[in-house]
Amino acid sequence: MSLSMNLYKNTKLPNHTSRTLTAVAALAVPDNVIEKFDLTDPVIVVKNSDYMSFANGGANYLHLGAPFNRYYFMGTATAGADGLTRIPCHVDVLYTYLQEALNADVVASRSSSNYEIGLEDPLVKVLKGYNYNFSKFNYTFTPEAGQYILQVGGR
Amino acid sequence: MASLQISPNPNGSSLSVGGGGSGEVSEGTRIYIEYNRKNWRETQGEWLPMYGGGWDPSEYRWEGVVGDGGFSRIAGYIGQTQPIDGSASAGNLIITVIGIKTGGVIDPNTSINLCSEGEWTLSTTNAQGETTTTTDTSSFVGGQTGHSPGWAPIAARVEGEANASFPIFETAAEAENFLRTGEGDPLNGMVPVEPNDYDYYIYNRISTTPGSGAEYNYFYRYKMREGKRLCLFKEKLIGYPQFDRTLSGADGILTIYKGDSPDQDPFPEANSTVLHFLGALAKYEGGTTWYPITYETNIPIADSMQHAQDYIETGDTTGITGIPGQQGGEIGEPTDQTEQGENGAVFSYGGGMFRLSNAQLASFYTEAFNTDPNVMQSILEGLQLFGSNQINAIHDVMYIPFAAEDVATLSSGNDIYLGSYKMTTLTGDRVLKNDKLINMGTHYFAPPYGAGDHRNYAPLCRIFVMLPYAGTHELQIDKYIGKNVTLKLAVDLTTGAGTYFVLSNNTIMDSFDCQIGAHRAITAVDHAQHVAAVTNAILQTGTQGIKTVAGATNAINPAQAATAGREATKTSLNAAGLGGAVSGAIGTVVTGFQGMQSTIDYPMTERGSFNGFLGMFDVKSPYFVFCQMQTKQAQNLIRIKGKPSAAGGKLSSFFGYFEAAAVDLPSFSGTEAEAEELMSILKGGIYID
Repeated sequence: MSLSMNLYKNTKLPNHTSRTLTAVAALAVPDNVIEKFDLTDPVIVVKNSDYMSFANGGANYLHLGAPFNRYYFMGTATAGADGLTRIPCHVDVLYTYLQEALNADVVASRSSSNYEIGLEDPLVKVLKGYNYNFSKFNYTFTPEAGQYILQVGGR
Repeated sequence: MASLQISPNPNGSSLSVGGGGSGEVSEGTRIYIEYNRKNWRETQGEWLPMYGGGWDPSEYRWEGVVGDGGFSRIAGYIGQTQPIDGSASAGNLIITVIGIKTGGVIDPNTSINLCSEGEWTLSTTNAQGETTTTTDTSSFVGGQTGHSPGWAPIAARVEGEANASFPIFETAAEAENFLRTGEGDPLNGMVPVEPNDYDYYIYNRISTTPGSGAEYNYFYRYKMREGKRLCLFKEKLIGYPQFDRTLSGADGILTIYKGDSPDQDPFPEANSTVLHFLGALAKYEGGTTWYPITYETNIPIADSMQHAQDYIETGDTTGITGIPGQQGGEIGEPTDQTEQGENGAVFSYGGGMFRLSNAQLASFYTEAFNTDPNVMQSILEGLQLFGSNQINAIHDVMYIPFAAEDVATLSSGNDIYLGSYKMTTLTGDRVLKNDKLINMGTHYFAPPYGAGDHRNYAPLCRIFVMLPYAGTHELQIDKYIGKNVTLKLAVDLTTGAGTYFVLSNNTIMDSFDCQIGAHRAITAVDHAQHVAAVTNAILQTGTQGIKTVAGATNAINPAQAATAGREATKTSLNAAGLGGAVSGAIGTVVTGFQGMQSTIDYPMTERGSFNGFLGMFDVKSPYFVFCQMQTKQAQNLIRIKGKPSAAGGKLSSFFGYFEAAAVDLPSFSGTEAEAEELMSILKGGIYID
């Protein structure tokens, strides 16, 4: 049984929804290339020479076909004395399930697009101390030259 | 309806000016004068048209948009000038528009020539139905310089009509007075407008700048055919990043009205309406963020076109996500101002209240306590109603630090009686009615960070008002920011008590009591009471009047507060109450701005009212004190970390940085662990490219 494995060079960080995928190699490999058969964290075993070829091509990302059908970030590879290189991988859930994620019902806590400037933002820093602006009304009392009000009983 | 008629003699031609709005304008208000001028000439004893074989239906329209920096009112006035060639005395009839500063869209003092080289009669009917007529009989006769003899008119007359959207006065002085006061009697009346009869409205201003500007100004009202409905639905429009709502059901609209601002009433009828609007708080797409500066509507909103159509056709509210609040309500009639009463009590009989100067008061005391036995005998006899304590006829002598006529209606030169005894050495100005409010003016508090920004509010911005004789008070800034704030004062001349009224856009929001008049002791009893009052006032000032919170996170020592007469609550010196009240206030501050700053100092010292004569040493005018903290926000904050949001919807409706407060995945094809990781990523923040 063979497994399709496409290796790419990706320059986008995991917390972006898009990937810039430059194909490095497309292989049909025996499924025993997978040393650890784990959907989320498989370990791929390749010849040292093959790995060097991938690495020189800048491969840091791959897609495994059925039964995996997932995109993976490649971890730090380890070359063994047996002439094989072991590459730990971790599933890219955001890109693999992007359409399902985009269809998710969400409530935002922060957003670049749908935000409310009336909400307090802890990332707005406050300088210490108030500025004071005085504005005076036009009316002026005259305590230095007032008048008297006399109230008397009389006609 | 008031109108202005201009009728040339003798053939009955006429030019009338009708319409006339309230004259109240704001930035963006469209104003116009449109008129139809018809010129005639008389040659060889008969009237001939100036052009062609009949009336020349030359139609003219002058219009413009009020720009920023203009006055809040606009007006026109009728003027007459000499003909261009100056060869005759008949005047051109022009309307000069004033009320627009340089820098507005329309030039100041724009003149529109309604009638040139004519002979006319001006008939005006004002809003009260009164008609006046002015005739210019010195018609233009003879050839014009530069015109061929065969063309030159013997006389030229005009006929037509004009409509203006603002009041027009007879003289420049009247127009200028209207600009200042909003009052006047324009020739074309200030006709109350009939509001639109409409079923739906949507007001939508869309800008690329948060809080200001507008690339799109949509102010629509719709009258529907019977049984028809409108509905908006959310739609992502390819190629139109500035819109996210689409109007459905437009074929059921009977009448479309399109205005220039939400405050305009009525809106003029329009032939068409746009169908796309922006309702999201902000929409980032194509490298630009679009903001709905205004988004007000009573049109229901559906989550899909299908649900919108279902609602329109059947009234089914499935998928209707929101029906914005309707105008008005059942609680009471909505109003934009509060009405204040007037004191109708009359003081012209049954005793008296007089305004005296220093010199007059001296004369009063001299005569009242004269040692002349004849005077004293007269007083004693005249004061028999007061028994053995004749001095009781003098009820009160109070010093006021303002002119009595500011708060009362006076009559001058009145005799003063002590009981039945008529003072012989002085007369006084009698207070007839204590019926006036002192209007101290109006200030406008512009939101320093633009409308809607949380930084405009406490504790980052605070407003205090320093009121003479009433001390310093903090105003709740929400009530006043972005509003016209008016201060009025009522003073009771019988007691010297005063009440300040603080109005926000003509609505009373706060009032503060105080003691302005200072009573002079007359008898020993009065003196004792006066001393007691001052003593109590000092105690009260210490315990009630002053509040200083220095360092919001610092504990406040009630003992220190009591000793210093500071840092106390407004109600008591009870330590528990003090601690509770202050910690409650501080708790609010800390909760609201936790993590933003280490301390927030209380910006002003508050003081209650003054008593006795101490108030005379207080500030002489009211002051507003606007306290503002300076804030810093990274220029790229919105792009890389967004801003706080409470928006909900599909993740696909967001762009740029997004951080989830809650996530629901309606379907997911991965493992449970992957679902948890995905939700964790969304809550940690992602960039939707």
